[in-house]
Amino acid sequence: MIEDLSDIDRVVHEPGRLLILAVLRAVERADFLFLLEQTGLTKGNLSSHMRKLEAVGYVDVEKTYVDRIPRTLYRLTDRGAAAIAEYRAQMERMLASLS
Amino acid sequence: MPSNPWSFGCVRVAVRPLGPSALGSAVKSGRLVCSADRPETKKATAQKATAQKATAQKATAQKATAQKATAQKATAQKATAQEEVIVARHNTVDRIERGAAAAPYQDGILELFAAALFLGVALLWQGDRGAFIPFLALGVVFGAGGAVAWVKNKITYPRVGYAEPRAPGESPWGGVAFLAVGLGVVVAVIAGTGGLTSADSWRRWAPFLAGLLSSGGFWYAAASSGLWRYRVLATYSIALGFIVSLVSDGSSYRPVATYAIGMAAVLAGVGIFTLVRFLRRHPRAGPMVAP
Repeated sequence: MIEDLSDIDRVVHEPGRLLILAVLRAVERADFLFLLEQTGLTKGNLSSHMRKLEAVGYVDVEKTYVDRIPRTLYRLTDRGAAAIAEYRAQMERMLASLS
Repeated sequence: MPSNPWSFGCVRVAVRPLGPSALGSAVKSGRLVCSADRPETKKATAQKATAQKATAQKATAQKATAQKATAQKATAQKATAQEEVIVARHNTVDRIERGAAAAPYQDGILELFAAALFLGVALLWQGDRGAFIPFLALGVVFGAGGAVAWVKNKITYPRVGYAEPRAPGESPWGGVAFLAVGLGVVVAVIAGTGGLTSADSWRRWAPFLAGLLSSGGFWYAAASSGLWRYRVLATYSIALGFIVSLVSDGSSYRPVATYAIGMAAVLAGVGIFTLVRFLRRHPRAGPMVAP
């Protein structure tokens, strides 16, 4: 169990990023405002988390224009989905060991 | 109050005017001390003052750095605590996912478009212009997506952001099985009431068939969003189709129009209620770009 604890993905384990990944798992693609609304994080916090998630390859970023207004779309990558699934399995194993 | 400068060796101080006897008693009692007997020169005093100033500056800088570090730590702790509170408020990750999946459907625009479609079907059917219904269907297939997107661009996305709903994760065979069972039920009912070759029987149960087919769309929306209102609408569609068929005599296809009006009325009510609630909850925000 200690191995599980030390192997835990700290990118996913952080509460803000876990929120973001959970939201992105539920939709195909979402823009910044949608994530802001759904997570309740501040703009700065969300932006910093998104940069980290993008850097580790858990999130894809696509910049488009709609009616000449820029729209930044985020999509959960397969790697990100696998990371959440693995994190969930690890947490379940750990919680099972406590009960 | 005027003050008098008094010199005591190298140190010049200003004191309140004292009478000779008061001054004498102050010196005698030790309350007034003269530094004139110290051996330091003016240069040494200046050097000492400079060193003291440098030490004080260093201490102030260290204090400021420590304060800044503490403030940064406190801010980071506050941010983490805030995020933990947000996660706790959402309760579980499943709940967060459910909320996000339902969010693209929270504006009621889909219901309003469906209501307009049913109303169009009813008007065409009621006015004996059923032949135009395929054109209406083509218009829906090729134009409804763009029209919904246009309205959402004006109303929904500026308020709560843009999200594409994810297709239901369930197997498509569930939907196929549902349709097959539904059609089987309709065919069995038609066969049982008048025979499969009876045109009256087909006309009579046409609203039930329409209700079953329409419910497929609501079941899909329910599976994609997890919202109970689509399950209610799907059930209502089947129930309305069945009831309209039961009271119909099968002499014409007009009961299909009755079913369509019943659907349009309920969908318009649900859509308007949902849209008004959405607009109240989400006042318009400015365009949002990731910083």
